[in-house]
Amino acid sequence: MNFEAYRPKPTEGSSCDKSTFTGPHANKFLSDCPSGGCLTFAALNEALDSCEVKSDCGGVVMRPENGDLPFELRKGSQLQESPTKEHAYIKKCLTGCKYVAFSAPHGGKTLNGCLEDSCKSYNTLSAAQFVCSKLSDCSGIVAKDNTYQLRTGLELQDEEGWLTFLKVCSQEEPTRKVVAVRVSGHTGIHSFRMGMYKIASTGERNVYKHESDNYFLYYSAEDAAWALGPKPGDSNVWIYLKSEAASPDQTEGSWSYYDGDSESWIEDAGMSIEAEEVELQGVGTQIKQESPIQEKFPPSEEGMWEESFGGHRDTKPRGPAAVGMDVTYEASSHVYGLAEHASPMALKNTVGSGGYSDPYRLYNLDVFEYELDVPMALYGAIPFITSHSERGTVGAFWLNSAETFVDIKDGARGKVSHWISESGSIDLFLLLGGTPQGVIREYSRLTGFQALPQKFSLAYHQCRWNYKDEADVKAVDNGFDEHDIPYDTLWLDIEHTDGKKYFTWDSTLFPDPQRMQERLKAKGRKMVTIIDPHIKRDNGYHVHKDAEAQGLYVKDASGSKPYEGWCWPGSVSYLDFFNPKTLAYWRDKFSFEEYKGSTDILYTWNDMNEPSVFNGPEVTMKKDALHWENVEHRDVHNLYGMQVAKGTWHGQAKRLSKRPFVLTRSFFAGSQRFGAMWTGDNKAEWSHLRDSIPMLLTMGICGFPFSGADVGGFFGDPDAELLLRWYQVGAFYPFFRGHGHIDTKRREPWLFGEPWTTRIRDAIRTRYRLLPYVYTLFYEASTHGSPVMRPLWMEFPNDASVWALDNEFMLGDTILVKPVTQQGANTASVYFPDGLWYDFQTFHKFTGPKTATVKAPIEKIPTYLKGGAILTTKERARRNSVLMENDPYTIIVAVDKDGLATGSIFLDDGVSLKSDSVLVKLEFGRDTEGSWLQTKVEKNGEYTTSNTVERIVIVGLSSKSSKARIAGKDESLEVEQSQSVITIRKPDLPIASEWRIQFS
Amino acid sequence: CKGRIRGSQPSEEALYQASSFQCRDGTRKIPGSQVNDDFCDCPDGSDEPGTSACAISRYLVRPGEEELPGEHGKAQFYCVNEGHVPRYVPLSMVDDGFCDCCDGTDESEAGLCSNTCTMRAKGADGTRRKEDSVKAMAKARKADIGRAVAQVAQKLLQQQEELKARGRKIIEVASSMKDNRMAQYRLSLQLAELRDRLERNDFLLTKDLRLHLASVPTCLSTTPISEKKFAGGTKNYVAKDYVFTYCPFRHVTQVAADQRAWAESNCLARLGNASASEGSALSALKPAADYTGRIPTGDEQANGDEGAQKAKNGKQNKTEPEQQKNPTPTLLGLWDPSHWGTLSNQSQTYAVYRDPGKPCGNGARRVVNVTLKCGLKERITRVAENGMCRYEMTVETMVACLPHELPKQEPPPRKPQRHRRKSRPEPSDDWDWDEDDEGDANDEEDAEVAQTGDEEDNDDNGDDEDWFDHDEL
Repeated sequence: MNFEAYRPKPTEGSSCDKSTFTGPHANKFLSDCPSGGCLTFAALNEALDSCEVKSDCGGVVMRPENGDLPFELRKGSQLQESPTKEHAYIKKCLTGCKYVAFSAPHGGKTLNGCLEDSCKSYNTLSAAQFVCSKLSDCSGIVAKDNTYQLRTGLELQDEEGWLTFLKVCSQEEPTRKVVAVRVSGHTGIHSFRMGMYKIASTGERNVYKHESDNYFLYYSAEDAAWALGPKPGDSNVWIYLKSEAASPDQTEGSWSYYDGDSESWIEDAGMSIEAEEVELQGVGTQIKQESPIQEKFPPSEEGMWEESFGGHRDTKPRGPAAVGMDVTYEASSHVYGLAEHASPMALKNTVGSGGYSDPYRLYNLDVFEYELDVPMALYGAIPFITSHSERGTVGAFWLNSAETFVDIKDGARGKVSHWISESGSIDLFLLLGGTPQGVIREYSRLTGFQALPQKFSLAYHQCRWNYKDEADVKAVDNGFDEHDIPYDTLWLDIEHTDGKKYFTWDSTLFPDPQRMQERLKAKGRKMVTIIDPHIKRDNGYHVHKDAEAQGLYVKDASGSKPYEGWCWPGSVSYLDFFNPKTLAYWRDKFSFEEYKGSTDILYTWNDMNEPSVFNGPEVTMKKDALHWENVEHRDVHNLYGMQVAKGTWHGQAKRLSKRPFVLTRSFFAGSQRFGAMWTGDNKAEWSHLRDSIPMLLTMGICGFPFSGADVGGFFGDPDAELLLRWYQVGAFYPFFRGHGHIDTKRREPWLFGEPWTTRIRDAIRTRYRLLPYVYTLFYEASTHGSPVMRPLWMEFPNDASVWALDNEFMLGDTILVKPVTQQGANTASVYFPDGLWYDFQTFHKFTGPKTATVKAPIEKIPTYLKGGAILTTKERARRNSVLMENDPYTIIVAVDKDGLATGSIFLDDGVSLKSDSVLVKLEFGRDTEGSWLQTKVEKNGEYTTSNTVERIVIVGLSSKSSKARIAGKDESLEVEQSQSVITIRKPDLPIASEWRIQFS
Repeated sequence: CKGRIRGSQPSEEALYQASSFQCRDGTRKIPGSQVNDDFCDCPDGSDEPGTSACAISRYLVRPGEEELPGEHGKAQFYCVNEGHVPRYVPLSMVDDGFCDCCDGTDESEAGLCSNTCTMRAKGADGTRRKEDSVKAMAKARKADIGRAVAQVAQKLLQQQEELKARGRKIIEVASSMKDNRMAQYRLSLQLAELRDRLERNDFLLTKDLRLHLASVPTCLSTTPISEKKFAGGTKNYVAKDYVFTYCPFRHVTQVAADQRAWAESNCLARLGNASASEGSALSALKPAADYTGRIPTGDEQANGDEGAQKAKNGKQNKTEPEQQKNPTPTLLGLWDPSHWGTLSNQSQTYAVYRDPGKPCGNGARRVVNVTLKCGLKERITRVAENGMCRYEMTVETMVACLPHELPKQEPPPRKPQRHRRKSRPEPSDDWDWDEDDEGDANDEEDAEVAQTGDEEDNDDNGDDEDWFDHDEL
């Protein structure tokens, strides 16, 4: 081939100064260049410009025997290294046809009429987009039989027999996303860092990670430079180039590398970065249709025996092992369950139109700033679906802890769920409960009932990442008292530890943790510290030393050494909670001797137990890591979090001989036996407040009632209105905790000033008033599995209009709550199911079924008592639940249409593991003399209490009753009447005994 | 006549002792027997000053009303606290088993609380005496401070004249170069800067806080503080320590202390299997390629070809090059004269420092609120980052002990007072308005900021010249 053809014509007056190759060989002349002419290496670029197809390469070869002018510029096949001493040392190939925007299932298919097989595949759809200049210009692919054509503009209109199945209309230049780059050319001390870098995180400028090692290619804004270093964003690097280019392949100039020996920066012109894989994304609409052409399932697919994802290799030694099955719910229109997803309560279809395009995924992950209304996986997984219709309620429980996908679609005979798990066996339980309560009871019998919590844990919890030190703890604790706001438990996040070594304390910030806890204890308060399952690999840390010595860690795929990853403390390994030895070890770690600085008011929070691995695939553990007895992590991934909480639960039980309290982020079916969960790292946005309702309703449907969402939102700063509204909703969450990220402004309830302090105080106090009732609901959950926060369809199963309603809910069977989740709202639209309802504050009456617009000014939480229910409360505000213990009760009777009502209250000491108790059943009825209220006591053991009833309020009674007396006594009780409310003043009856009040 | 009405203020006892009681909010009249009978009859809670019965929602007392919660219980429990200071405690704390009043009267259970009033009074006296003595000492030195202030003021006035003269000169030059639009533009920028500085000086001259200026001639620095301590935590593997420097009426900066030690232990934490003390051994094993270098700033890069770079950094120092100079301090804020005031109830004065430059990580701009507190020594007593890039700093200074004085002269009428500077692209350009010493000014600033990290508390007899020079920046 004649090289002359590619030689640029020397322009008069032009010089070679603009050379872009500045390495040690810059300005070297090529062998057939006229001296002083332009054929230096710079011209290589021009040669490249004339390359047309992929196979066209331009480069320079060096022939030492040529003496003074050893370099030759060549292109194409000539560039191949010859067996002689020729050495190709710069080589560039055009990558124009490697724009890969579309992959499966048609990616790479050849288009009709293509000359070059590699250049006109679907991949070049992106290239076609460049041709578009106006909005109407679309590019796309049309298909017919086995023919695919790439078309643009008007040509793209559907044509008889042709199907448009991919269409991109673009208003703007498509964005260019460089997915992978190749770093090459450096042969010095950093040569091992050369190679393929793949996108690790996206942003204004993406971060790339070496395909096998933890080297990062990123942009440092501070230095206005692209850099290759160990930590994205950091200014300490190995290699850099000052350039503000949008992507590293577009940088110009020379890279410099750091030579640790000479401690200096050295320029290396030879190093270059080229885009290896580029995606172009249009801004406009994208229409995708399924191809009319059926794909044949290939006998062996890529990824069956080994798979790479995001730079992580999964060795898959056991090969493909997926199991799947379809379950159809006859005549069903609504299915629920599949926690945990940030999606509506009624599951959406994932096949067909109108729903999600991806299946619900169950794979416990630490998701950063999760999205709403998507089926993507979150921190926990409960593979359980309940279906409800006029024909009744049934459930399906797919007991499999591997990664699982569930598709939902409308079938001919009802909703169809398609379950597929990556491995494991098919273990399917069909629950024919018939009623909503029946199904949840059967499911709870199978997986365990909600553990009955200690009463304090149902009160308000105050948390933040992080309360800084003992002085801060004291100030926050005093702040609550100064503002007369109740709280029970103060939480310490990861920073309380010494270098994130759990079971330790930072001795500077928390020099005397015991004294700090004693101070809280004196007021009846509790403390919770965080204990995560990742263990810092630090030879000075006793847990690490023990775990290494006793083999308590999860092993890597080799099975011979601990799996290592990064988490908060840096390098960590993960305790194998499937190993009975680990569980026993962990349990003993909670003893007072082992957990130094802990007292009997200290409880535990298990975070990051998905497990979270900062540098792992999808921020979790590799699937080929090995647990006890060589069980692959793949098989038990979704169970890991539950095992952690289980170990902690047993540790506390042993240490305290009281009911433990454990909060977990990750969970599985059965986790309800080990405490509470919360919905992880939500955001301080109205949408997240709204979404917390369906998320928690789903937790109740899935048999795990003890659930909450961070009040105020974890990320970001809520304004006063959002925070208040969140407290107003949070007061009805089964688990009620305020929490915030370290970067957020402090938001303790009094920090917004009046009138906000008073409003938030009222919201929190509402929870405290209701504690006797909430505790009774948890007793029901622990014996019947019934949710605490209940969807309306569970209480009103025959009212089809509530089957998908997830913006209001029932607290138990007595209180209807309509959360206000709109900014600036001062009214709310409430659906009242059949029956009578009384405003919980004014006792104003509503008759259902109807939808009413009610006033909901900023102070108001629209809450309603159900006619026919008897609510037992403690109305006196105290600084915490413990100090309320001896306070008298108030009984609120809300009568139904017939003037009747029933209720119950569960009483025990609120702390003991197996405690004696009393269940008081209250009944309000009528006989010829008039109405009466009486109690029946079901005793379980010897529990007694001297607590009395200070007030009985009867709401909605149409007939006036001005007199009341206790049966068997002559004295009449003091009765006050105001509108439709009758109040009995100081009946002073013992709550845990049988009595009867007769009205006349 | 009944005995003492529990929880009521003595002067109001008569109200409670009559045969009937009128709720303090006027809503109801109840029999006297229902006062303190452990049942709440008054919506405002006034019938139960000595029980917890009225620590409840108002609507339970007056059902059917549209009132919302939040209106309940204005009543509180009054502790006489003989020998100390009387106080009110919320009704929710009456008989809750925890002693809140020092005389123990909020708890009726016998023997639960002991009377601690005398002891507390002593403690409070001690604190007060201490405060008084500090104030007295500050007062005694008032004359000294006054002299220093007078000097400062004198200097400021003098500078004002110079600035004005310079301004006139610029106008003169500008009018002689009418055709040169580029020059005109540059001169107009200079003029704007001049105006800015004139305003700032005028402003200082009208504020009593120039006292502070006089007593703290240079900058104050903290000892290294862990980010866990001031921010509540860290996103690094190992917490970083920072030194904060406060230069009154100029700026607040922070700089990482001992970057090398931190980088090493942070790296070790990531690598694992080694405790921090094994650091040196580990670095000996590390291949040269494992060392990272700090990306040089633009200046360094500009004057460094390969060889020069080597010569400069070369073998002179065994540490990584980042250690060879102090790490660059981060500007947390420049003084913002538009936010300035006195917290009336605590007689504390605050000033705000804002970073006019690039937004911080969360899109917000850095802000430092500095609170001045009375104390004998000039020092920074507290730094907190409450929420990303929102700093609070408490500085003790003797001038905060003195009563605030009125401005001695009328502020010159200049409008608008603020804040053109914000719109400028680069804060540093902002200060070197004078063409002639442009380069020097830059260097000086770098040096000065770097030094402050080493400065300990300064004597208040600082050199006026000194701070004036800084002010030139």
